[in-house]
Amino acid sequence: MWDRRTFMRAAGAGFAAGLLPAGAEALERAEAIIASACLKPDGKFGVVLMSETGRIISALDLPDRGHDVTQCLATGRLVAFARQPGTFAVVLSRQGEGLATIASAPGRHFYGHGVFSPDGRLLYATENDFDNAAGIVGVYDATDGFHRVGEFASGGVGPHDLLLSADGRYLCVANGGIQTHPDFGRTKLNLSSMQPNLAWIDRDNGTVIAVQGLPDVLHQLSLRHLAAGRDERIWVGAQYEGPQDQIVPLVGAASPEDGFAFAHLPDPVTVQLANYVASIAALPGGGEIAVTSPIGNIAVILDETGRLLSVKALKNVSGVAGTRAGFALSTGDGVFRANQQAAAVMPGVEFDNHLFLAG
Amino acid sequence: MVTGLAIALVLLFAAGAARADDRDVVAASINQFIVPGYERLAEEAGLQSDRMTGLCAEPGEAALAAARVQFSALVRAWSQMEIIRFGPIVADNRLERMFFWPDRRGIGLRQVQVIIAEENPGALDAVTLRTKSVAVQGLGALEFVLHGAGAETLAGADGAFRCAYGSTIAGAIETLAEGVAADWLAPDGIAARLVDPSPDLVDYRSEAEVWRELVGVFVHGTELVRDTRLNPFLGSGDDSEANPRLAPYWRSQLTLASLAASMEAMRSLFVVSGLEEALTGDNRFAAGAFIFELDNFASAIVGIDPDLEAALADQDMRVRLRYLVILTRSLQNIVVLQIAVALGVSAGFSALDGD
Repeated sequence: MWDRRTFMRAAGAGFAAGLLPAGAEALERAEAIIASACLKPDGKFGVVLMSETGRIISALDLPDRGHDVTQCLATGRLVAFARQPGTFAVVLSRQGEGLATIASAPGRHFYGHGVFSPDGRLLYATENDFDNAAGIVGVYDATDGFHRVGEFASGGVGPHDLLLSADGRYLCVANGGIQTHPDFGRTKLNLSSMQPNLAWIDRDNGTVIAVQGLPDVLHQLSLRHLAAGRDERIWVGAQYEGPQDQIVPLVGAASPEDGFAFAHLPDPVTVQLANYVASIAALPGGGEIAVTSPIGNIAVILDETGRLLSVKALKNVSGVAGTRAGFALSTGDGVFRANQQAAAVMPGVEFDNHLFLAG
Repeated sequence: MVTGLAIALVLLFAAGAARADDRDVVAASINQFIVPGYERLAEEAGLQSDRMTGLCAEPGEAALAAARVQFSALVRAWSQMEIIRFGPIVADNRLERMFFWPDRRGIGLRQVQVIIAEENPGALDAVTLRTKSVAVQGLGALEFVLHGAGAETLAGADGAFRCAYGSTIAGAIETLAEGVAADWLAPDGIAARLVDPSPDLVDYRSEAEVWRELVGVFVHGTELVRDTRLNPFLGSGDDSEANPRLAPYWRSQLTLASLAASMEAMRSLFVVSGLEEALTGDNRFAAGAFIFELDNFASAIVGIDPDLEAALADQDMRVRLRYLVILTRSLQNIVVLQIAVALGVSAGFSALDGD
C-alpha cells in the first residue's frame, strides 16, 4: 500500500504547492485516499479524490458518468471507468491528473469495473460483446499505453464487478445475468430468462475453472458487486429483479473450492435493503463486511460469519469503502461520513455508487 | 368482471400516518388509473378472444378485418398500462408474456413462425402455451398471427391452425389481464400497501418509497418510449440507419398509436392522480412544463404516416419523429430534475437509476 511519504515524493513539491490551501492540508493529513465518481456542482461528471476523512484533494472531469475506480499498486495510477454502457476509462495519477483515456474496442462497452493484475502490468475490465450478448473480460497492457492485448469470456452474461482471488491467480467475475444492448439504452432485455453466476477464471489462459450459479427460484437475483474477505473468500452483494414483495437473500460469500453460500441476515434487515445492494466493501484487515442500499437508506455491517453487527441509517447511502478507521460511506446527496465522525456535506456534489480505497 | 368497490372500501377505512393529500394521490392513481386501466385491458382482450373465436368458426375477410380492428384496440389498451412496471404485472414474467419487447435478435418471431409452420398442437392449449417461451404467448405473437407473412390464410380454411393459435393467445392475454386486475383489487394486496406503507411491509416501508414508485412511472416511462420504442428504429446516427422493421408493431402499423397511447397514459396518470395539484408554489411551473411537453408530443405525432417506411421516406415526418425523441428526453429531465425533487423523492442517481 502506498503511504503518504511515498506519495509526497512521487508527487513532488510542485504538486503540493499548486493545491489550494484546503487541498494541501487534506493531502498533508491523508493516509490513504478515497476515489469516487460523482456529479460535480458545475453539473459535469467527474472523479474526485478525497482524504479518508472526506476532504477533497482533486477533481477531474470525465467525458460522461463514471462508475467505479481501481488502482495499480505498482505505480499508484488509478483508472475510472464509465458507467455502462459507456465506452471510456480514464487513467489518472494518484494526484488526480488525467494521464490517458482508454476507449473500448469496437463492438464492446465497459460495465464500470476493472482490476489490475498483482504486478500491475495488466488491467482487466468487464465488457459487453453486445451483438452476441456475451460477457467479456478485456485485457489491457498497463506498461504500454493501455493497449488492449486480448479478451476472454467472462463465463456469463452482463459481467459487472470483478476481483482477484486471494492468491492473485484467478479473476472472480460477478456475471449479473442481465442482457443489455446499447441500441436500447440500459433496458434489461432478458429478465424472464436471466441466469446470473460467479465465475472464477484463470488469468493466465482465460479458462473458467468454476461457475457458481443460483437455484432456479433465484434466477432473477443479479450478482453484481464484490469485496475480498478473509480466508480467500469473496463477498457478493446482489440486486433482485423479481417482484418486490418477495424477500430474497442479498449478501453471500464464495470461494472456488467451497462454492457460494448466502449470509443469513434477519428478515427485517434484508427487507430494509429493499432488494438492492448498491455496494459492498470489506475492512482492509478483513473481519467485517458492509453493504449499502440507497433505496432502504441503510448501511448494514456484518462479520465474516455473516452475523449482523450493526445497521446505520443514512439517506441515499450508496458508496462504501473499508478504511483503517472503519467504513466510510457516501451518498447521492453529497454526504461523506468517515467511521465515527460527523458527516461532511459537499453541496452540489452527488457521489455515484462506489467509493474506492486507494493505496 | 372485477369492480373497484373492494378497493374503495380499503381506502376509505385505511388508517395510518400518511398525510391525507399524499394518500389521496396514491389512492387516485390506483382507483382512477391503474385498476380501470387493467380492467379495460381485460375487456379488450376478451373482445379479441371473441373476434378470434368468430374468425375461426367462420373464416372470411370481414371476420379477419374485425379481428384486426380489435387488435388495434387491444394494443392501445396495453400501451396505456405498460407504463406501470411494478406490482402484479412484474410477477411471474407477466410483463414479458404480455409483450416481449425488444426482441433484438428476432428469436420470438422465429419461434412463432416455427409454431405456425409445424402446427404445434401444444400452442393451442392455454396451459401448455404458458410453458413455452414468453415471446410466443403475447401481443407480438398475436400481431404476427394477424399481420405477419401468411396472415391472409386466416380468411380461409387454410388458416385454421393459425387462427386457433391466435385464439389461444387472445385467451391467455385475457386471463393474464384479469389476474393483474384481481391482484390490484385484493383487499390485503398491493393497493392497501401503497396507500398505507409501513415499516413492517416487505415492499413499501415508507411514503418515500411509494412516491419513488409513482414518480418512477414517469422517469422510466419516458425512457422506455425513447430507448426501446423510438431510438432502435430511428437509429442514433444519420437517417440511413433508420429501419422501420425495428419498430414495435410495425406489421400492424400500430407503432405510433402505441407510442401516443403510452404518452397519453402518462398525462392521464399525472392529472387524475392529483400529482399536478400536489406541486405548488414555484413547482407548479414544473407541472406545467411536463404537461406542455406531453401536449407537444401529442401534436407532433399526429399526422405522421403510420406506415413507418413511408414516414421515414418523408423529410418532414423524419424530423418530427426525431423531435419525439427530444421530447422524451426533455420530459424525463423535467421529472428527474424538478418534479422528483419538488416531491422530496431522492432523484439521487443511485436510488432512482442504480447499477
